[in-house]
Amino acid sequence: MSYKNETPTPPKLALWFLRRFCTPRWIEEIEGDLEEEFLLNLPKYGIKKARRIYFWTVIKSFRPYLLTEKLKSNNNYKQSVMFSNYLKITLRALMKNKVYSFINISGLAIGIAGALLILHYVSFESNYDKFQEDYEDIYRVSLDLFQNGEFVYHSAENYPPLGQSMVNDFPEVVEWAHLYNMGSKNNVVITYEESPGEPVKLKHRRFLYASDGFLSMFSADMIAGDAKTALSEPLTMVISESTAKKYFGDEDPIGKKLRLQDDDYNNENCVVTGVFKDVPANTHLKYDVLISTSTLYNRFEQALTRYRDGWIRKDFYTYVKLQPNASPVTLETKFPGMVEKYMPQLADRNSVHNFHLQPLADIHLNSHLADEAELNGEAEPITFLSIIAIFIVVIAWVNYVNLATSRSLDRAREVGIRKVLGSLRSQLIRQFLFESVTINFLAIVLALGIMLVALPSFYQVSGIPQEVVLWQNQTIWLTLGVIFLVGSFVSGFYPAMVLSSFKPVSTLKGKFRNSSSGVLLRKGLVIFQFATSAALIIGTLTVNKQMSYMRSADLGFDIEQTIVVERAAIADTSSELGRNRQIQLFTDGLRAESGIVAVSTSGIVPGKKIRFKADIRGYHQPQGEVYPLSFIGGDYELIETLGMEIIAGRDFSRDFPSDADTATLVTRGAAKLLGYENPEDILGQTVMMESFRDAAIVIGVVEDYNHESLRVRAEPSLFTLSPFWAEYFLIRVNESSIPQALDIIEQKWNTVFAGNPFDYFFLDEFFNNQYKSEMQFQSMFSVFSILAIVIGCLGLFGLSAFTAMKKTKEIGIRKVLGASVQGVFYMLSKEFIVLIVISNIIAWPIIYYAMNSWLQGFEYRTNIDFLVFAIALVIVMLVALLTISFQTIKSAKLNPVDSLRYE
Amino acid sequence: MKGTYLGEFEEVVLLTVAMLEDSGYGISVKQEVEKRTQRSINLSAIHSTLYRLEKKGFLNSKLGETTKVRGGKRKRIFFITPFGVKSLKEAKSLREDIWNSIPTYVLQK
Repeated sequence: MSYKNETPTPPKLALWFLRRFCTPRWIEEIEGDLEEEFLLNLPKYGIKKARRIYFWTVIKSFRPYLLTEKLKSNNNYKQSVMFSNYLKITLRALMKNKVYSFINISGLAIGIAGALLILHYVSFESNYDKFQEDYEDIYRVSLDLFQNGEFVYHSAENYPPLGQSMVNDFPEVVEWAHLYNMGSKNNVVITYEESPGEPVKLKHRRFLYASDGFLSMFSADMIAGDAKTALSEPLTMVISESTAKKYFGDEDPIGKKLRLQDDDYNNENCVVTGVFKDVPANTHLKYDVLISTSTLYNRFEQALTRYRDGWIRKDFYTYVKLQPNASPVTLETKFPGMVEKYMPQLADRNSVHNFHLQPLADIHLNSHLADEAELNGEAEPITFLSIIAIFIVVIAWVNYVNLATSRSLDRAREVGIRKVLGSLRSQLIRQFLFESVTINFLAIVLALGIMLVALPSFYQVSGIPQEVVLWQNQTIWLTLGVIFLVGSFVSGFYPAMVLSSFKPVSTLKGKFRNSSSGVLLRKGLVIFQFATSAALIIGTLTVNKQMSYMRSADLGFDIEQTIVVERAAIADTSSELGRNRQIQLFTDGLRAESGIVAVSTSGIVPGKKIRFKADIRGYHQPQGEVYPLSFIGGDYELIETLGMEIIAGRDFSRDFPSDADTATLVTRGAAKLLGYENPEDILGQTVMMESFRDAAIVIGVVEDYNHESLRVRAEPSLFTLSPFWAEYFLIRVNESSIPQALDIIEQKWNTVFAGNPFDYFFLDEFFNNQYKSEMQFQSMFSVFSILAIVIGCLGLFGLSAFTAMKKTKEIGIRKVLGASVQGVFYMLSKEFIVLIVISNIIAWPIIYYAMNSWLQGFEYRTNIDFLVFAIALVIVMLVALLTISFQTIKSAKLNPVDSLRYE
Repeated sequence: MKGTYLGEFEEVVLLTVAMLEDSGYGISVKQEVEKRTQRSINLSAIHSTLYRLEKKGFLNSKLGETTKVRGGKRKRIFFITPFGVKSLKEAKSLREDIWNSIPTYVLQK
């Protein structure tokens, strides 16, 4: 036990609270009972939980029957009268100046609503995988590869025997599990053939092979079946609740057979051995169907080595669970020894492998490795947005303080009269705090209303799934409570102090001066608001610039007007020849059509991870010294269809029969990696493909192209000619004839691949989908920047009115002495212009630093334009001048007679 | 009827106090009820029920002896009043009445 020698005591705060409210008649026995229960709970739950229970019991005991007479009695009468008086005065003050009240309350409300919406997004994004039990002890093992001292890649996937070996070798590793991800790479169709009606056929992407330890390690919520044993046998399958519903309706899924078919010719009948509750949206591992990894072992002769025992292929997500107090850092120091033990050949090949432990909850935001299970989020935007959220609320509070103090003129007489009639300063403070509590309360009610209205568009902008309900997020409510308390008391305190400090004599005489420290504070607050606005504008513009840069950047190939059709999952599988004939029939048929510019089959599609890496070396490089290059197979027309540029040599051609057997194309980067700085030099050279024990002759070099998002470097790749490795059909069409082309493609599809549903997508949409998280960030950033500026302007509006009012007499005199309206306008605006310039200058270095670090996350990035800084200054200035002009022009036009008469 | 009506939870607490004879107070009642009903109950719920039952006249109470365990605080021991016993009996006989009126074949379902 962790507690010290002294006897543990119940929480003092709770006891104090209990004594405050509980009637003396019962206090003794209740305290006694609570203490006794506390002592009973100590050995059972430990001190922390015992104290928590005590606390809750006290809170729950706060019921009317227990309250002291004091709290209920007549003594309170005076106070309740005072409170009703406070309320009345507050409401009158609010009603008296409706514009101020509106600005005040709505500014606060918009700020609170905006901040809470951001908070919801942030808490969703940063709580990925934290629902897993013991998530703090679960790690994914990633793999770093170096060849000849040069970095090759970081991968999320690892060798199949790794998990088991770790449990065997290291006592602190208690459990392991691994996953083989084919769902995202293959076309998988699972059929319920014995269905009473039509066979139910569904295509699956969220599909993984999982080892038998997976379900229990990841505390899967099983509805049926045993997590420990469900995946231990070959040909067993565990499915999600919603998948079970789709296949079996209300029938019991356990023991039912489902046929698995994929385009690697696997065709197996599996038994459903378990059903789990659908995985929540906030996990990096999303799956509907899990199949036991032992199913893989019977697939071919070498399968056991390939999928379980061999340190050859590295394509399994490997997770290990450590003992609760084990140190991952210490464990990592033992990994080099492990690599040596299991892969002694690496040292000879001059190749270095490093394993790393990635904490489970860290994966979503902080892991951007090759072969991730899904497109992960970004940590940096989350930090930015959190900061924006805080700033928005603070700006709203600043407004409140500004407006409340600047309105002191209005309230000075009231304070004077109150003081003359004998009210104490503490009572005045209480009154003004009461007003601040009321205003904050109204603002929160309004904020909740705004959130309710904004929610549908918020879900759209942020991309959070609808089932993550805002109102169920405890953090939101907690923060709302904190905002209310801090807002009411902290932002209410300063105005209360200022207002209550007035000397009755001077206020009643109408002589009223603001202290210079107050003016300074107010200027500081305005600078803060506009520095924030300027920073946000610069940020938004820079994000927009990077986005448009990425969209218009030269990717090295063309993604416009290209339609992609995935290959049919159910094809003529009786023979390879039959299937190839189908593919040929389809592509040749399309090539004959006029609206279609080019057609190619392909093993890859830009925007989606390349599935295969092949270990390649140049002929002259020593055996085993290999570079994993992305391995792409396609038809003769692939380079042409994707509009890639050949910088040396030639494309594949039907005129060279030998191309079909031995030719290969490499990218500029790949040529460099293989030791040919000048692309011309690699032409005619032989490259060894060690993974396939094959060799090929390089006939051409393709300019590097960005197969994936511009976040990452262009991958060095190798193209081979394999027309029938047709995972995708890429079809380039004329822009003017897209609908007709689609009709033709569908027609051809239905005749050649009868029985397969026709499905297609446009390559550019698909490719740009990679920027989803950036686009979300962009829209969130823009929306909330505008929000911050609006709130800032609301405050400025009030403040300018105040300044103008304060100078009423001065304006009158100036006008009498011949000042023009423009002159007065300039005089009133001057102060603000200076403040805005100062605030911009303050904002510049900060936002420059922040945006620079954001841009560092992109391999290909735009620069920060200094024009943007100027634009921000102009925008802020214009908006601010526009805002204050309402008031200043009004005062400047005022007839001096009226303004001078008011004393 | 308001004021003398016995809710389900009230009835359980009242029965428990009757069962505990001279040793029924907050903690002992809570433990007994938790044991019998198999659910976890907050102490504050027990307190409010005990005081309510006392106010309604089903229970009587007095302060017990000082003990060391409770930080020197006395317990309030609860006893069932004759009125409490009567109400329990009424509640029981009401149920038995209804039970007896259920046709036997329904109970065999």
